[in-house]
Amino acid sequence: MKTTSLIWGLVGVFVVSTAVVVYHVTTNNQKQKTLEAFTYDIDRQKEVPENLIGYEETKQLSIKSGVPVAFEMDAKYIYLLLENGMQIIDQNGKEFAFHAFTDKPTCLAINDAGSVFVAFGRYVVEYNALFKEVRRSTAWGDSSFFSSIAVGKDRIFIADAGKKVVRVLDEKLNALSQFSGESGVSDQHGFIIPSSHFELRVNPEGELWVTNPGMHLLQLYSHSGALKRFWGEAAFHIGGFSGCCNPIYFDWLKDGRFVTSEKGLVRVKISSPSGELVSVVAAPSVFGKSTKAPDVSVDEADHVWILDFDKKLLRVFVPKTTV
Amino acid sequence: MAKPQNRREFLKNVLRLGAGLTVMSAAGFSFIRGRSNDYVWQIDPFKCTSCGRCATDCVLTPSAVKCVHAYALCGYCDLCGGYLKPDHLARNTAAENQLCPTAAIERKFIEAPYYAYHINEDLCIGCAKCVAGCTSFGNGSLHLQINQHLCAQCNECAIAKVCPSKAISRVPVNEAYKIKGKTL
Repeated sequence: MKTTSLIWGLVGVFVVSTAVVVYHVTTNNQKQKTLEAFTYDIDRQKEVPENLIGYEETKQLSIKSGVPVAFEMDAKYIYLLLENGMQIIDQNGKEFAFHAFTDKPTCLAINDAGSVFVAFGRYVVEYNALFKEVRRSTAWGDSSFFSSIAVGKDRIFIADAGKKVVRVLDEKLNALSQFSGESGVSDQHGFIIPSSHFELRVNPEGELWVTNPGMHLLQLYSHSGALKRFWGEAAFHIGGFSGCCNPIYFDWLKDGRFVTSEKGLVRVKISSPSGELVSVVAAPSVFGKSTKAPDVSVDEADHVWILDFDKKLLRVFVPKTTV
Repeated sequence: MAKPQNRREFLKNVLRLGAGLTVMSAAGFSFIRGRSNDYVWQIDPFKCTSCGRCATDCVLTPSAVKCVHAYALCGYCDLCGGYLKPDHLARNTAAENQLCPTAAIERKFIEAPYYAYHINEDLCIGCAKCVAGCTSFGNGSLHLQINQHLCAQCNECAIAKVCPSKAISRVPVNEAYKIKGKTL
């Protein structure tokens, strides 16, 4: 009698335990499935066909002197703007100079004469080749935020992301005019700057190109602010610019093709002068989990230099050699 | 010499004493409970990794965690990473294009090329899918907060226990929300 009770008791314990285990496994599986349904998955968008990747990484320079902000290159030097100063290095990373700043810099530009223009949020300072201050502009209002500078033949252009305008200055850093990108054409809008990224550059032909990130466009303007041409497409696919605001940075290869850099779905691409995708320099996989757009610059040899802010690296990409 | 009580008076006094004790106990309990509610659970949106556990692990169904929208930060984008699926077919309000599993985000055209986004809190389950999309591609204006009117204020928050980034903590009741953009 006692043995029978014991057996039934053990059977009961076994049944209850099994039920508990089954319940937990089932609910955990269900929770896991639910969590998977809530996962934001952009893996498919990150994939880039191998035949589109036309570049390979050949070199990395580690940045140890501070937090990188931006960089520019001339034939000889790399001007690396850091939160605490400007480091001037060669293409092998050898330091030639370091100039400390008291204010936090936001962007820089260099000209053929070796002058360096550095913006500190609301004002610009011009330094000569020996890094002595030549002149500085007046400070604009509190809501101004200078995110990019470009130097033209006799004009300095500043992208003011805070006020959403391009400011035009003369060589003495006096304000001449400003424009907000409104063309008067119904299907075109002025500059839409959802985040603090607003970039401009002057190409070797003297053309002023400006990003309109909220419109996912690169736009060509006359120096007086008239919209002349634009290209770009808002799309997650590899040929478009994704997210709220892209492209973030750009430069040109010698033949006039664009090198663009995007945030969110981080990728660096080459596009024809009219905007058709040509190839990919760096696919999203190159940047891991980073969502910050890397700054880009092209050197004399047409190699693409990428400033990886998260990894604090300058990364060099060269065209793949065909085997 | 005290007047002797009859049974009716004695019972009346006992009842009065009982009622008095009950009122005092209730007041004391409320006081203690009030003090324990000086702190409430809240999410730090800058620590949140949009893992989805706010939707699955809250003791309430649907979760007391809801998406909130910092309008001052929003870019009012047409191509909104928080509203549209990454593989959306078209940039419109069709269900197959919406990222939110419960269609809790309403999209409204303002003027070209701006769109406003509004969270329908009754539909939101706090899954953070939109938060991940907005953070990946936008300014992160969509973020999660515990709705204090819904929260059961458990002694030990079931979500805080499993939160991988320890983004949920007790905060003073007078700072019950950590809305993005307020300090920017």
